[in-house]
Amino acid sequence: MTETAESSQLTREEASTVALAGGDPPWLAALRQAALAAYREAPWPSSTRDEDWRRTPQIDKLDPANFTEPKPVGDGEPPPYLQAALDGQLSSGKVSAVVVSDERGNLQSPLRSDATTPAPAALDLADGLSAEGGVWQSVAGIVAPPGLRKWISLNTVRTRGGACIHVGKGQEPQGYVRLLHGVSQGSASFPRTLIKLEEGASLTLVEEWLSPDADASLLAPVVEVELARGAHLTHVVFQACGDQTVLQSTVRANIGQEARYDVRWNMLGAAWQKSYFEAFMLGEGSDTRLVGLCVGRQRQHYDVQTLQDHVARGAVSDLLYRVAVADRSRSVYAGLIRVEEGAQKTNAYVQNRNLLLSPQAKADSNPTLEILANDVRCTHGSTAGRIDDNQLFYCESRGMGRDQARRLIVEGFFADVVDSFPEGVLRECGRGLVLESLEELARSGALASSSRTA
Amino acid sequence: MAEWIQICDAAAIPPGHAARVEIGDLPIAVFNVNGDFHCLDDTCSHAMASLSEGELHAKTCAIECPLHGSQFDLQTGEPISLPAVEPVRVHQVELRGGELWVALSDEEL
Amino acid sequence: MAVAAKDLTKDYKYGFNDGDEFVFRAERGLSPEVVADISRRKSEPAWMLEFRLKALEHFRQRPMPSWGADLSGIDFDDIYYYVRPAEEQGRTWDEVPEGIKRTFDRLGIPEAERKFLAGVSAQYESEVVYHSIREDLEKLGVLFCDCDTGLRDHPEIFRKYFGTVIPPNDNKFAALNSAVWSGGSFVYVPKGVRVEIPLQAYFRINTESMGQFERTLIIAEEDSFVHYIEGCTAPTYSKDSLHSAVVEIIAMPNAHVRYTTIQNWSNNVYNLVTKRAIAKEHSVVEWIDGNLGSKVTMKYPSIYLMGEGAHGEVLSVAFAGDGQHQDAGAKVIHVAPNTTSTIVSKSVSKGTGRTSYRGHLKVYPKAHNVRSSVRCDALLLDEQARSDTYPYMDVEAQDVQIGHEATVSKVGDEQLFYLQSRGISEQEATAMIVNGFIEPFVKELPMEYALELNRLISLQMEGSVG
Repeated sequence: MTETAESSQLTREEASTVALAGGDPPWLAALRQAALAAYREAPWPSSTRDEDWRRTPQIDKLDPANFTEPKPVGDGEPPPYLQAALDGQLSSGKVSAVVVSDERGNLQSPLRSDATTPAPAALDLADGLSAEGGVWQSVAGIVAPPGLRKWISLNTVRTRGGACIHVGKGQEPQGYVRLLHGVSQGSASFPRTLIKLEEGASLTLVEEWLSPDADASLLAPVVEVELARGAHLTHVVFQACGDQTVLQSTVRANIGQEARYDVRWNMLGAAWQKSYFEAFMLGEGSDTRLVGLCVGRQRQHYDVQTLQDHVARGAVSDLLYRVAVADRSRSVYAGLIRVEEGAQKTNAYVQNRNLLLSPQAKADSNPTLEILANDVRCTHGSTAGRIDDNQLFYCESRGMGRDQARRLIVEGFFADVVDSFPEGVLRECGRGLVLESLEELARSGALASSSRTA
Repeated sequence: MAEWIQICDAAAIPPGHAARVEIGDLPIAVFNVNGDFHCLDDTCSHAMASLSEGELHAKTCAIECPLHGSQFDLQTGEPISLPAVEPVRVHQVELRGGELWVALSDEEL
Repeated sequence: MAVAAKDLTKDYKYGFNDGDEFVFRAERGLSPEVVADISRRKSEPAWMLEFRLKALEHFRQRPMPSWGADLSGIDFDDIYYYVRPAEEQGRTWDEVPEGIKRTFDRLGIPEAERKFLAGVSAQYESEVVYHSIREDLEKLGVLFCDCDTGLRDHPEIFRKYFGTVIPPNDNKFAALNSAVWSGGSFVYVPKGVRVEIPLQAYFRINTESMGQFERTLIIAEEDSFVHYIEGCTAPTYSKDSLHSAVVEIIAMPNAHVRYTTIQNWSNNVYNLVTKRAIAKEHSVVEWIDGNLGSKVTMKYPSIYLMGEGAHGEVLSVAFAGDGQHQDAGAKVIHVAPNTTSTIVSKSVSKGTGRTSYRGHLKVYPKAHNVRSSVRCDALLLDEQARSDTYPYMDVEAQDVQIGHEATVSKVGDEQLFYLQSRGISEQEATAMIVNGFIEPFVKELPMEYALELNRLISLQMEGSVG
């Protein structure tokens, strides 16, 4: 049943499907129906019943019915908070295309691709699906099957916009594509992003997840990536949601032979979130580097779950996730390295480093390994602790004030993650966001309690 | 100082019995040990079990969690045995003219 | 408001009266009657009978764990929970597999022991050895006997501590053990006493003690030291397919307890063990855990660091050959401040064997200044071997330094090449490398065990062990 203004329904058990403006291609309508069946069948996640959710009890109180219906798209003008982002620091680099969406669907973009634009083709979801339905039919719902998780089936049923980004064989466009997905007015938005790079193609993509402060909204993006042989995608995600927003995200990538997937995330906002980053090494010699950070303040709660699944031989995956939690914030991390039978000559690594900046901050770390091939090298490491007294002493003995010293140490803690972002505007933007976040922590006095000798 | 909330008739909880009551979002458990009433948070500090479903040890004035067997002192809320190591909060409970009244503890969870 | 009150008083008598005549039940399966039988045969006090019956009820109500190894092969109704009839006691020497006999040869196991280990003889003739040790211990005031005797002869100490570390409903298998326990060791070390010789369970073996549902309780008073060793590296046949033991240790302030286990149960055994220690102020508890045999082992020695300055260590080795699953690990709970812990886990999987490390490190909010390090290394020898690592780190205090590292790999080609180029066969080279890999564990064992273990590993590499 497709929603109309009167009959629209979204609860934990039931959801009426929506359609893209201009209608869904038949295959998408069918996919939505399949997703709806999966949505109805799956129970709402529970922190007492589901291992994945054990440390995020916020899910028990979340009800999609509590979010307001999106207004009609109207003229598609981006609202002020999105306009501000559009004009922000990231617009100063070499931007090749911009796609924008919020809870109403895709909005007007200042730099839209069309059929005449040379690669990459970065189109609104509806435009992309109608221009190259054949390509997307083998990505959408395939990389991220709706039956996998309730949040994926919900996004499939309720997505009104997003992006289709297709880079042709051998094409290596300069600069970067920007995607902005926002939500406001206490609504729920389910942007769907589909990315495909053909053989030997490369692309840099910057995605921003945004919402204004004080809006209790829900943002639930799903990103499906497919990389053909030798392709290279650099995917940067900035999560700068407002402090009342709930984020539920899935980023999933199928990586082909000798292809490379570089994903970077910088997460500083939202009231609480559960984010999945999942990479499947399907082709021999495939390579993925996942690097990210988050900073927790007040009562924020970050739940990040990663998967590096080695199906093919000779692949490399390497993850580094750094976390700093202050006040009463909490980080939950679970990362699985799974090496399937026959995936010999695998190299897989996970590092999770947690810095506890206040007595009531918490960090849970649960890196796991399931190894079914033997000619492999897999390691994982995890640490949790507060600012090192020795480092502090060193800085202070060189004339630095205590607060300044602490800030410098936390900056240093994140340095390798920040430096792993692509050089130029992207790296500077990332660095700026981290510094701003630390500045706020310092102002609120949160850093002051970050060592025993406070 | 928390306000006093009327819970129920004292006769509804005979000796050796316990009842779980929700005050807003917070479940509490009221126990009757040989005529004396005690009130604790209902949720065990070890895992998510309900203490009001446990076993009452009248002689030692303790409640045993039904899930893993930790015992808690009904007067102090302190765990007497593993695997729980953290206390549960104790709330004041009074009998006023045959009615039970509870004042919730100020302590933060 | 309306409330629905529940009756929380429980009665576990099941309608039995003291003085009922009991009937010898050599039957399979579990029931309150079987449990009451066990208690009566041992002439136990009423509180123990009640304890057992309550545990039985909990065992029945509790579902099987939804995680861990595959336990679907256990048939609870097809087990003798106490004494099996004489004709079912063991097997003849002819029935013992050739492989096992060869292993005994290669390990140099004495004749008398062989028959016992192979399940042929019901008793290990070690009385002479045991007696002289007992005299020395008695002079120190140390109690070392089986738990049945402990309950009977030292009821006050026994009752004070029994079941306080692992309550009967801690988990399904602790409940089972609590209902039908028999045998196991009771060790009490008085204040200030250091027991320099390791106490070995091996000395007091008889059918009941080396049984399925052993219960061990060790109490080390202030400033004492004791090292307890159970098991052995030699393959040990058990007709019983379910072993569910419970070990409770209480280390009083400044005490030091080391508990070493090496088990090599035959590959029909499900070995499900709950082991936990409480460490009080400035005490040290060490679990040295070697898992070599059994079809499935689920065992996670744990330490609750309850007193300031306490230190806990778990050093474990797991070896899984064809068809085996060693699901082992460690749990360390930092409750008090200024506590430290170290966990080192080494596992080796060969053939289709599978090893899983399952760990839980928890630091409670008041546990300031905690240092903990966990290291899990896994060696996968063959293509079909499997290894899993599932560590949990749950840190609620800020003033801590916690580290965890895990690696999984196979034997390095370069190492192998180097050894082979010196005329050593691939098999021997692999054995050397595996022995080197488990070296941190082996060097903590008493010498005879260490030698036996090294030899056993070499045998495993040959694949000639039954």
